Amino acid sequence: MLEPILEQIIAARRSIWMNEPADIARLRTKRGARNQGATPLLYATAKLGQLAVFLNHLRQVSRQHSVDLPTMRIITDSLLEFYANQYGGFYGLTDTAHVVRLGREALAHVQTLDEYVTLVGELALYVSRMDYWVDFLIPWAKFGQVCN
Amino acid sequence: MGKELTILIGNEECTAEMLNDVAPRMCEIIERALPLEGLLTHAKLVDREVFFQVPFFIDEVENPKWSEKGDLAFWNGRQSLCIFYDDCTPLGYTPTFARVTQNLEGLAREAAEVWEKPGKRILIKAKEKWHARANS
Repeated sequence: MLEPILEQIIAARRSIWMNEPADIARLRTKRGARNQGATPLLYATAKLGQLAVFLNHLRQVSRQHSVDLPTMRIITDSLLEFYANQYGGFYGLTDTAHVVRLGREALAHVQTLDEYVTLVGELALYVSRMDYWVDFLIPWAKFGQVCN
Repeated sequence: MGKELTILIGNEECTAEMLNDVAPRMCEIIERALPLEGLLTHAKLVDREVFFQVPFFIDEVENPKWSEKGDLAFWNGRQSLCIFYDDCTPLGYTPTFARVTQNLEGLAREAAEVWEKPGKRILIKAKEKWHARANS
């Protein structure tokens, strides 16, 4: 059943909308090369941003063109599997990985393009929200000074 | 004249006018979603723009324009409400649904701080008299 899984994804998004997600505390503890904390943040935002862009494009293409649902499902499943493993692995974004995996589960129940659009839209909202949270951690002003 | 919005940011209260005549569908969607609360992020490429994510899409493209100081626009690619708070060079045409009409200076002061301190809260709501009339 698609609906109960979709409801879980929406509930997860609402829970992190204005309150810092637990994933963020886990990401803060990560250290990259030479024991510094910058690259885990920069790479995490890059990978969240990538999936958000892909999901938004998949949603738009599915709304605007008569695309083949089984093909869209295969492409999307592959992306979701890849990024769920990325998030839940090194970055410690385990809740995000769980939501993306819920998306994979829901995808198997999608019967129409409208349902597909709804699902990828919900996933895009969640992943984008996580990306914004990570963005808050990055000291862009100081980073900019270093790069001047 | 379009409906008015109150923008609360930091210690400032500002007013914006919705562009109902040129972006009716966008305004309708925004109006239905009010009040909108968010945490501001500063744009990284455009010099004087802040934005925050909202939990909905606006797929209609209305009033796409080269954003100017005081414009409120919507970037559907990341479901973000964008505020151009001073002179800047935007990246492209953006669907625009409102313009700041009062206290842009205050908004600009608060928004400029977001570059150093991201996550500042913003609230956009229907202006009191409009809200009161709608509920009467």
